[in-house]
Parts: sequence; C-alpha cells; structure tokens
Amino acid sequence: MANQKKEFGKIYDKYIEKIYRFVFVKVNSEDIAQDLCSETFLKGWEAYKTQKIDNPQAFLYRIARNLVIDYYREKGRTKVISAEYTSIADPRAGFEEKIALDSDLDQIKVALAKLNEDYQNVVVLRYLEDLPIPEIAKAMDKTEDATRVTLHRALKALKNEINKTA
Amino acid sequence: MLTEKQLISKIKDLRQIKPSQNWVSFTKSQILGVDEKKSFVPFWNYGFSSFRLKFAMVSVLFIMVMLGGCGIIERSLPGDLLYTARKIVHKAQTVLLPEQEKPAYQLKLANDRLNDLAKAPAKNLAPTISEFQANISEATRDLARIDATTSDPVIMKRIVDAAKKLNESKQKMEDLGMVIGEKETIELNYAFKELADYSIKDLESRTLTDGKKEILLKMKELFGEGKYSETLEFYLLNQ
Repeated sequence: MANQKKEFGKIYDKYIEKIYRFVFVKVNSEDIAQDLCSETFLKGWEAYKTQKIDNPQAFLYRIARNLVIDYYREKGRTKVISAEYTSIADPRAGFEEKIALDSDLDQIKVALAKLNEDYQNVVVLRYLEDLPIPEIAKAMDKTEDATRVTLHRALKALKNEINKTA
Repeated sequence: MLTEKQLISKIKDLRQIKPSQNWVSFTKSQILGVDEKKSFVPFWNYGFSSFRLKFAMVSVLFIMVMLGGCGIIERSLPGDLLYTARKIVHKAQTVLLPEQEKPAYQLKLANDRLNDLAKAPAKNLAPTISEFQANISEATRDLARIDATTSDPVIMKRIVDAAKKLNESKQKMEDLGMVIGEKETIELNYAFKELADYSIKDLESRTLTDGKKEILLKMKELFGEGKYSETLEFYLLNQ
C-alpha cells in the first residue's frame, strides 16, 4: 500500500497541472476546476488501488473528460457564449495585472470556447499538453486516424472562429 | 490571416494557466494522506494534543453510532442536517462496491428517495427530488459502462429487479399526480434500451436452437413495445 501511494504520488505530481488546465479551459472557474480535478485524482487513486493502470495519463484524462461531461449534464448547464463569459479567468490572483495577456490570447480563448467538446479536447491535448496522437486517441476513445481527422477539422474550425472575430 | 504556426503558438500560451501550489499540496495530502511538501499544517499541530484528538474522534464516532443505532441518520431526509451523514455513508458504500454492482445500488437509492417523498414535509421535497434525480443520473452513467452479454447474470438480474421496483414506485407517485425526474428517467430508459438492443444483437450473431429463436422473437416483441428492462430480463432468464 505504501508503495502504491508513493507511485500514485508521482503520477499525481506529474499530471496534476495538465489535468487542472484541461478541466479549467472547459469550465472557466477555479472552484469547479479544483473540485473536478480533485475528483479525477480521487477516482484515479481508487482505481489504481484495485487494478493495473497501463496508461495513467490517458486514464486520468478520460476520467476528467467524463466528469466535465457529467458536470454540464447533471446541472443542466449549457455553455453560453457571451462577451463576458467567454474570457477564461486565470486562477492566480492578480494574474491579469501581473501578466499582460494580449488581445490575441483573449481571442484564442473565446474561439476555443466556441468549439464543440471533441474539437476542444483534441486541440488542448495536442497543442497545450503536447500529447502524441496515439495518447490522445486513447484518452478520447478514438482511433488514431479518427483523432488526426478531428484535429485537422478542429484547427480549421478554430481558425474560422478567429477569423470571424478578427 | 493567421497561419497555422501562429495559431498553435497562441494555443500554447494558455499554458500560463496553473493551479495554486497550496491547493496542489493540500489535495494530494487529502487523497493520499501524505503531505510531502509540508505546505499544509494540520490543525492538531497547533497545540491540539494527540490524546485530545483521539478523544474527539472517538466522541464523534460514538455520537454517529448512537444516532445511527437509533435510526436517526437513516430516517433523515434530504434537506435535513443529518442527511449529510447519511449521504456520506451512501458515498462510502458506493466507492466500495464493484463497478458492476453500482447501477443496482443507485437504483435502490433512487427508489428510497421516492419512498422518502411520500413522508417528506414540504421543506424536504425539493432536496429529495433533486437527490432522486442525482441517483437516477448516477445509475444511468454506471449502466452505460456495463455490457449485458458479458456481465454476471446474477448482477444483471439485480439491476433489472431494482429498475422494476423503481418503475413501480414511480408509477404509484404518478398515480397520485406527482411526475418527477422525467428527463433523468428518459435517459435511464435509453441506457436500458442500449443494453437490451445489444443483447438482441448478441443473440442474432449466434447460431440459435429453435428454442432460442423463440426467445429472440419474444425479446424483439418486448423491445418493440419499449419494455427494455423486460427484454433484458427475458435474455437473462434464458442465458
């Protein structure tokens, strides 16, 4: 058990920031991102104690993705895209003041928020988290070919969204 | 016009989003019971002796056992202060259950909430309905992870029985003019439909004896009538 804890502790340290970012980009709230992220690792730990997890990264992303889906489904929430909602708040206090985020960055946040869930996932996992295609495919329960196609379409959709607002 | 390279570079800028280190350490200690970075100091380190802590914990446990023993926790309804304790017990039981047994348990909880509704005073109605809906949603989610053709028939039977009991209780409520959790029930029904459909396809993919062919026909008939849990029941009875 102590060994398992140590191993999962390493997994936690390695992926906590990635999973947090993945969830945060989708829910736009520090509190909710923290809740869903904690639940992701709690479920991950429960599973880790009882079964062999070959690919912890894909496993954790899958849990996080399902929790975000459940969050929107259970609460009957729909993503409303409005000028005040689309901007992704940064969790760190005074972040906006400390780091001057340029308008281009805001633009990308708004555009990303307008994509469907699959497109968001594939863009975030590929370019924000640098995951290789086979890993993304596992996390999204897709084939590698389907993942490549989704990524291609997602980038195109993202570009279109940005051009619309430019 | 933005090039693909520029676009990707802008996406990468979102890496500036990071969780606070205090929260990261605290959450780790909560999940794993370790506190490697020592950024979170437990309250008992501030002059709360080990003996007092143990005494306090034993006292809390004693009170919970007493309340549980008197059935006070079990009788508490959503919206009551003690219901939080009842919910914690339910959560703990859910975590301990094997994956395949979770749907039946959630359906049982949903059924309990329906029974609670009958005796709930006005202030407890809304929280009880909301709990009922949450249990149904959980059951639906757990059902989606199950494959009727490879699962233990005994467990599947328990799920079907729990669903039937729930339908009966729900029907009783509806007879009294109370329609609740429509959306969640439709989703649950859809989960059963998927399972039933899969079990029909499973039989269709096999070479069947005449007896099994009749079973398949009966299952299709029930399926056509929208009786999905009955379809599944028929499939299990004849496995």
